[in-house]
Amino acid sequence: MTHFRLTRKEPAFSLDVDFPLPAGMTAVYGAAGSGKSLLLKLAAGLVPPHAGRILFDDAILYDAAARVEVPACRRAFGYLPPGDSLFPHLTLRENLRFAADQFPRLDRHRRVTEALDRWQLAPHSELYPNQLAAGQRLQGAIARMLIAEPKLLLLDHAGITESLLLQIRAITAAPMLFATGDLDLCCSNASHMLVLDAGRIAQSGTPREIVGHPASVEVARATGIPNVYQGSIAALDPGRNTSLIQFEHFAVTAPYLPGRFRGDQIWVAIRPRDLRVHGSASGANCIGTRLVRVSMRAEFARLEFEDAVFADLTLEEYAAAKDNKEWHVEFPPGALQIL
Amino acid sequence: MPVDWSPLWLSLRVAGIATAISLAMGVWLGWRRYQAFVALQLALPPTILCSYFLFRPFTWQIATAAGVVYAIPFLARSAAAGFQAIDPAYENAARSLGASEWRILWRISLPLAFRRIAAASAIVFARILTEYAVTFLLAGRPVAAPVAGGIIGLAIGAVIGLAADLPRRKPA
Repeated sequence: MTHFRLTRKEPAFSLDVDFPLPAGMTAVYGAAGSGKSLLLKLAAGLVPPHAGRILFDDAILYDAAARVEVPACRRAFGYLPPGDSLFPHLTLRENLRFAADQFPRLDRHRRVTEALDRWQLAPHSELYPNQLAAGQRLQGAIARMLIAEPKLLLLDHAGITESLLLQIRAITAAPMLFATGDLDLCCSNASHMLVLDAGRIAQSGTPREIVGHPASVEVARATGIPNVYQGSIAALDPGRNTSLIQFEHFAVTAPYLPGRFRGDQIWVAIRPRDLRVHGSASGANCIGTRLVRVSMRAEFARLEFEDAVFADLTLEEYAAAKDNKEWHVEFPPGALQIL
Repeated sequence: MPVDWSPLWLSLRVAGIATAISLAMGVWLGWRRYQAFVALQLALPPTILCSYFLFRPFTWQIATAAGVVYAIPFLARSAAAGFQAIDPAYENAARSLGASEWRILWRISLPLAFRRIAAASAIVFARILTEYAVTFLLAGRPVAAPVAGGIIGLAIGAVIGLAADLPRRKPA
């Protein structure tokens, strides 16, 4: 069993996390400044925590209460720092050899050569890091990390991509914790995901669960839902299975909310692509509003309306709707997520 | 006119040995970041420094010891500055690869801080080589290296100093 409980207080920031680490890939997702890097550094033993406990494969690596601390060099955790980390005064081959030092001499040579071949870095093995391209430096750093046969991988590099993660997975089956701000990468590669917000774990679960059912306002905002509104329950009707939620500038009908009372303050989120946009008033839950601006994206158009309502239209829908004289946004009751 | 070269050899021997010893100690102090001791030492006036070494007879070994005490703060400061200028990512990466602190010092930190430490050693070597005041105060005029030797030493020191502190060949 692997479990991390780590606390560190800094003047401007405090990190307090407690999570079990399953096998496979775990994504640490959060905005810049949410504490992803600090979490990985604490786990690697490069920064001392102020309290907590690290259990890795049932071995205690750190325990503040019992004053146990296995130093970083004995933890056998592979750590990929955020920037360039290949030693600038050594060639690529010497960098890899540095990591293979624990092995016997003949074995060392074989491992270095194999790693260079596997990452297609053999032609550049005698070059210094400043003579390599950024992508090759990253590959070199990953190859060097993997040569030491780490038991846990801690990846904190913004250049990590889906294919690099797959290549790493093909080499080692060690559990992996990677920091990212890319939701697509979490969904494509991670089997488990931690959403970090201001040094706390806001939600953990599979990426699908988190994207489908954000647990709080912070998670909804962090996972890219701009439409998050606070409102109060104006009416509840269990007979017709409906409720009425009054927001600051508009009211919508939603399915019945079990376990809530009239007057409760609640947060509601809705994905921009679930909103429907019409040129004229049509049906229930339709709110007449004014278009503020349109932001063109590669695959869709994001329309920003008054009162911070965002709707995503496909490019075809936008082409059809863009000459509308008036704008009406429909909130489909089924797509409302109560946080 | 016959030239007596012995003071120059004496100066070179004293400066060479003193630089070597103070280099080792200075790098260690810089690595361990014992800055308070170093700062105190740096603030000492040479006259007080001399009073540590009021032995008779004044041998070249005592001159070397005086040189070491005089040079350590400069080397320790430069070494500490050199180590601090290294991006901690390199040392962190080395730690996570299983390298001990000792191995990190030898394989990563020292090579990366080499330029600063080498430049400081060269300056210290030149300073000890041409040191007149301490020797004069300790041993009086007869033992103090003649000014001619000092000037030759200065030239040697300057050349070493320049050689060790060449401009970078290419940007990192």
